[in-house]
Amino acid sequence: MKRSALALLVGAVLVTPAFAQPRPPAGRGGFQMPPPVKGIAGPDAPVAIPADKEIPFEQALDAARTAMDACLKLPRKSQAVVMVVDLNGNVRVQLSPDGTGLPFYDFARRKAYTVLKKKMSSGEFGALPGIKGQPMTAVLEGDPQLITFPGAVPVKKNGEIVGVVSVSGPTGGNDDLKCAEAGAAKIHF
Amino acid sequence: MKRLALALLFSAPVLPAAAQAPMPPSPPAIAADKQIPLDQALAAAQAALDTCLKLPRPSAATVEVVDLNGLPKVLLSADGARTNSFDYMRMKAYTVLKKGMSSADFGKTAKLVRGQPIDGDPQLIQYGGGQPIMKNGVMIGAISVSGPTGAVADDTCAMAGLAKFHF
Repeated sequence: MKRSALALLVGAVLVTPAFAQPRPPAGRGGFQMPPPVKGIAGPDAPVAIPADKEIPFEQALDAARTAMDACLKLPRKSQAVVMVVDLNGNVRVQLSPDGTGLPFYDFARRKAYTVLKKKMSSGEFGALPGIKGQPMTAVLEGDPQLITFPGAVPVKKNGEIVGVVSVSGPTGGNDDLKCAEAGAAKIHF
Repeated sequence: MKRLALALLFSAPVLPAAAQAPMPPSPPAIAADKQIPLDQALAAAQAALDTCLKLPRPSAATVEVVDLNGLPKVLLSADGARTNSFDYMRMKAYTVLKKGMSSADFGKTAKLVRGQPIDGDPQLIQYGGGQPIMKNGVMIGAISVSGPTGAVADDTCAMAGLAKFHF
């Protein structure tokens, strides 16, 4: 009894200040909090992924390796960054081949984000009537993370998206798409 | 002509403001002798993850091998890895790269004030699990592990991964 009262007291002390005082706009001690980093996850991504929507690690690794190898064996060899991403946008497996370029890390991430948010492949999003033909500098639908390049495909289970295979390399989106599809074919539930 | 001028006038403000926002500076290219070979990075990450999964208390951890820019060369996350592990993993790798020592060593020297970021940098973290990858006495990257069973286990896995590098 005494212990539970103590626990309540400690809990109250811990919890109360957060509600009682509004948070100061800047951090304490002159420290400025950085702006929140926007995650890769789409706005309606679940917090915990149900067990039947998890991509098994072995299959994710197999898919990533297959996609990367497919890109390296193209007539025009492409050192592409490959990632397999879950519904929260967390990277299950990422492989970056030797000699890849800096932009491809970011493009691969944005392609995966686009698939999760738009529930279609990044190339399909780029081909939508209102999106196709927009200048490269345009911010699409008010979201600077969205991207129109092909190369990321949804991984589906019973018709529902459970993740993404995303590829970005130096030889362009059409090559990326071929590699991503080769990788996604390795995921079987 | 007049119509064209009018059209131009009206079309100009349509350009989204964010399009003109400055891009963040891109990180520098890494010298060839400081790049981490993929095969070694993958072997190390897999060794670290296997070690974590085979501990007495199996740990569904996330593992990454990052280059000097902090970009993941290889990232592996076990089935059932927790969402917060990804952030801790990243922060441990960042701490190693910034401080040039393992995150556990940094944690021993860091001045911790409750509720405040270490050294004013909210990305720094005092938990073990991040180890520098050294080549001829120079750091070329980091291997970082975060799992649900704690920093000591994470460091064990990171060391197992680190042993796979040979230059």
